[in-house]
Amino acid sequence: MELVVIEKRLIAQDTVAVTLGAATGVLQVASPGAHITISLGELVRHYSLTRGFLAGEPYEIQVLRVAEGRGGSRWIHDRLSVGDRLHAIGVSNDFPLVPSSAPAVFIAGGIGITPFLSMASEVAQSSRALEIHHLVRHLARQVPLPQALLPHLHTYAGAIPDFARLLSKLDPASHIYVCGPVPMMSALRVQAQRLGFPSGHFHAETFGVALAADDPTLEVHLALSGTHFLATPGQPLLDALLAQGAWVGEECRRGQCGSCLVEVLEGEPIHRDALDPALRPGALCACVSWARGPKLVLKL
Amino acid sequence: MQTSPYHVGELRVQQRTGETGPASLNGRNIAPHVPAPARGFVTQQDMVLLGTADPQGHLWATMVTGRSGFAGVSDDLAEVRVRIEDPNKVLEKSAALRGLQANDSIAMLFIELSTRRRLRVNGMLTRADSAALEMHVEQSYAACPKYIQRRKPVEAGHLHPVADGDGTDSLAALVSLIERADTLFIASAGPDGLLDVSHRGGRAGFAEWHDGALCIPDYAGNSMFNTLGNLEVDTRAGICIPDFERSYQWLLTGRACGQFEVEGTEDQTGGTLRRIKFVPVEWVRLPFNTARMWAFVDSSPFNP
Ligand code: FES
Repeated sequence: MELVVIEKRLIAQDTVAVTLGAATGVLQVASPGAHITISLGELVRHYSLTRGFLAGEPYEIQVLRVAEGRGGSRWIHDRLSVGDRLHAIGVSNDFPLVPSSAPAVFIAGGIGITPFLSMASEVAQSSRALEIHHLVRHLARQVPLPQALLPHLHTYAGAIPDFARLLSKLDPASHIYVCGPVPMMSALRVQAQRLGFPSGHFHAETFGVALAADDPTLEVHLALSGTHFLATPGQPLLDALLAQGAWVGEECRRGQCGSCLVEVLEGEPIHRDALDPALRPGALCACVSWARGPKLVLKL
Repeated sequence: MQTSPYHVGELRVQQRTGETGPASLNGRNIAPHVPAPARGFVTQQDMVLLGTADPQGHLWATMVTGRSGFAGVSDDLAEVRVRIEDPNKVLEKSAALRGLQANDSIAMLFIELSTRRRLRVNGMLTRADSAALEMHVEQSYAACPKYIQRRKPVEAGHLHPVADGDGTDSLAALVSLIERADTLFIASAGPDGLLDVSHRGGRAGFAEWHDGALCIPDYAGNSMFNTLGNLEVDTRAGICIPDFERSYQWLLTGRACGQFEVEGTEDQTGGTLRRIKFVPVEWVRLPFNTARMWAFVDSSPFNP
């Protein structure tokens, strides 16, 4: 699907909103929580839609400039301008609202608030109880929320709230939606489990590869084929494996589906997926995860 | 925008289930040849599932076993070759592979139960005889590892005796296998008779036998709906239910349809309310063609 940039504006510190229209034809109407997959040359990036839920409405994405990222956000910030064309691979929704009348609780870290703009707005139009918790490092970076959501918003600037306390005050039937950095999502998942929230009431989404500046180079050994190679940070482990002729499945490439799960025989994974850990015992998602190093032995 | 890799039946199901978006994302992974990284994988395999049509037009899914190295991919990634060992003439007894000839459509699914990896390859036969099958690849892709129960190969030692007569066995024996089966395979055909063979798995007894029909839940998957899509345009289907621990398989052929929004199937389908209803018209029980056996390791944590 070919898109054209209609508008680009700064909405918070280091954050732009990009409005996208169809280059030809009409845009497919999205559902709250949906994301768009855009190909930027070699890179494929996923962004939550913040507009595009009504027929005839353009799409909008909100993008934070990540200096140490792999370049997608920098390119959008520094290069992309009004009138430019973009190729979108598609729109899909891995993070739909689960139909329920129980309270909906959204907990976001930083730019992870974007899927919740549409999801919480949908809830706000119903009679469901709603809470939004937004953790931001700097208030200046908080994106503006629709007026209707402000009465439900709790902002934590520069400080991490006590997750156990936050969750223990919730209605036990609540559906909890989390989007943000992986450590925050994992901490919340652990607390939610400890407090007895059913795992089907905990919903998490990631934003593709989270690179850490201190990821080590890995000595990867493939136990079944007997090959080994060095994996350098920057290239997803999945791509390194495929380049080495190791066969690994893939679908979402953002730690959501589990298609790329690979069994770890030795080594300590750094998990960056959004799957419930119970779904990947002894394995890692090669599309987004890494390992402490130096050695990683995989059953491939 | 590239043209869609899907046919009308698949698109219809994708639309009905509202999964057009994810399907077009996953469609990126369909290649017109075997992906280069899968070449070594194919060579390591010791079994393959075949989807074929017999001369009467009945569809079959058949598990063919071998030794690592029995299957291979050509250097240009365009041909797949499977060597067939059939010391007890087991495969000859089934209509499934008898009568296959060049230019027939064929589907192959390589599936490594110990690592849950799989590769689907569909294409046309360029050679078919009792010693080997060779295929020209038209479509190939990874397919997702969800719902695969892990099993590891164990030495079987000896071959089971071939069943008497035409190998047809009692319905009661089939139903008792269905009640404990956690894995089955289904062959289906798209427009122009292009064949496909897919894996279905779940907890033991996930597929249920009711009034002469096999009901197979369709769990949340890759949104491509190859099987359900095929059944929209062609109701022929073949089912293979292996008994990995006892080294034999049931092959069933018949008609199937997709059922959507089936009330009361919330738990059985993991919330999709979708299932495949298959009515067999013919079946046969066959021992594996070579002395192979697999032992159960664990169930997929994704099973509903
Ligand atoms: S490809 Fe989906 S989790 Fe890795």
